[in-house]
Amino acid sequence: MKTAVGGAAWLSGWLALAGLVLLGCGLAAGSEGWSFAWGRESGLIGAIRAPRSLGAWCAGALLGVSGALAQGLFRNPLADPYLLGSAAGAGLGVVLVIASGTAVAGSSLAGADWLGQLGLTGAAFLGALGGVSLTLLLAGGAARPLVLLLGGVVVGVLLGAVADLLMLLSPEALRGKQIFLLGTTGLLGWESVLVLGVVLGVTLPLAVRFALVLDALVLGEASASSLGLDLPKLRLMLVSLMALCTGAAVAQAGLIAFVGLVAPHLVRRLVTVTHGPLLALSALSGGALLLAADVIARSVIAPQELPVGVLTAVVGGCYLMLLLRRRAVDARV
Amino acid sequence: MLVSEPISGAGAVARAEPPEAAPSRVGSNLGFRSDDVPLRGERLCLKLGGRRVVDEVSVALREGAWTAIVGPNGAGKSSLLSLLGGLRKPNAGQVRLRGRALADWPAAARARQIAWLAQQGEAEGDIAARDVVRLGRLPHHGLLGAPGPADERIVAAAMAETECDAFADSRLGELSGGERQRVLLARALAVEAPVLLLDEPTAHLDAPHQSALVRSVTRRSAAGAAIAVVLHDLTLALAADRVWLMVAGRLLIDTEPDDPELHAALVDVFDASIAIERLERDGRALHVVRPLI
Repeated sequence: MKTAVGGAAWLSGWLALAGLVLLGCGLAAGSEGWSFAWGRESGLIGAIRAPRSLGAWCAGALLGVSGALAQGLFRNPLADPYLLGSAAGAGLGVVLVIASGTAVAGSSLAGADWLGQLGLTGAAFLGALGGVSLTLLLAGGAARPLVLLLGGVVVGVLLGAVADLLMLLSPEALRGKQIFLLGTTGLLGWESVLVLGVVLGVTLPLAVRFALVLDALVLGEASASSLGLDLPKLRLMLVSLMALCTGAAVAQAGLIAFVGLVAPHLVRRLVTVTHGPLLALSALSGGALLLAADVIARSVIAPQELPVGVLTAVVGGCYLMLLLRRRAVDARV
Repeated sequence: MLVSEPISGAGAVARAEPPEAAPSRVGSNLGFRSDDVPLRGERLCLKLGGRRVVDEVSVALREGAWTAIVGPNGAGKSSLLSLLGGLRKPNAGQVRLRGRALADWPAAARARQIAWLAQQGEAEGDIAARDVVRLGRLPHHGLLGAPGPADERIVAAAMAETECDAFADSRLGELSGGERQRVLLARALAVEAPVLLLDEPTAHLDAPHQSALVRSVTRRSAAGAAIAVVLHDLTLALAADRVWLMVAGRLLIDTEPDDPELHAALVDVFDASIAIERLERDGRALHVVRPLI
């Protein structure tokens, strides 16, 4: 037990350090390669690189928390933050806004002004929460986790179909949604950092406070309720926290793949901890992961830029393959 | 000195009838003073998927005694246990904990009164064994609290009792079936509840740990706990203070393990595939149930 706690403390130190180092890299990585002449570029750094790097870290941290919540709630190490219809909901929200043409003039997402940006992120956020609410409504609350998961699948298909229909009617929505689907950290400004930071500051302490519920769920539904826990209510609360984390991250940075799935895995591989420390460590590792991906995406083919979502999908996908292979090998022994 | 006493299935025919035919027998232990009986089930019925898995069962769990619940697969043993633990709501009848309907108990207070050990398949995860056992203290310190020094002592004692100190820091998912079962048992013991409901606690246990489990249960009941245990091993079951035999959702017989009628009923229920032998050892009656192959 002492070694486990010590391990967790060490890991949190390392992950925080990694975050800081990456933040330094993030401030230095520009469209013309690496530059450490910070005095000369302070304007650029303050206006673009700093919020982008901080925002990427916060979005990654939120995805990490959300992923750890999802894996604990559904007792499945392959659960991810987008399970309960939040991805499809956010996608539909974006398509709706672009198709109706109220928020963005023209078809370019990058050309959106501040108001348009708020409109898009607002729509994505509301869409994500709406998707999860619809899932909860379909499943009749959060009493039965399997029904909840099935509800998430149904909502994903339904909302995806509506979005597809809208895109047929209004082709310019297609491109906007595509950029959104790929996931991008290029649009993060100081407002995004503020929003992401506030959501992280509210959800993470709450999730850690109620982490014993996830520990108890390890024993199974019946044993957890025999410990006096009101599971339907507590699960509803944790699902709401998860939706809030996912919604905020998706609204600001799009559908970034695999960070929410991989971050808790990485932590569990390294230390044996209960869900409280797991949630906090997943935030730290998710932040470091997405920030690293962002720095690489910016610098690897500069002055061009890789969509960060593509990068996380490739790297995360490979990691997961490796994990599954190793498990398959373990299972054979 | 061994006294062997083979039993034929002939006497069990009358027992196979529904309990209404023999009302004097079923619930015959209800003559205890009510304060001896912390947990009582009254005419419990449970339907699952249109099938009556528990059918008009009335039982009482007495303080200072442990009861073995036996019966063939699908007889409703686990369902009855989950009704008694308040984990399922009966379709008819009710459970009373210390004279008060179970549904009227606040969840936390109930959780301090009744400890529950589920069948093993349900537990799955990556948290350390010691942290699993700590969960047993949750009803005492509350969801937002943390275990104190007294809780830690109880956790350590429970782990020592089931001999799982050696892998206290290992993850639950990395333990063998038997080790995991001992961790989960320690978790249930750590609640230190006056009522203990155990669903197949001997599954996956090797012979020494099965005996250790029975000794634990006997010791805890002697200290005043009321304990019900679903058991498939009839030899272990006949070491109990009381045996409930269930068949097809009904409580066929509720008696002491020495009762010849019980032995006859067991042979009958299990299609004469077993033989029960009575041994005397150190002046104590001991029953050995062996399969006829």
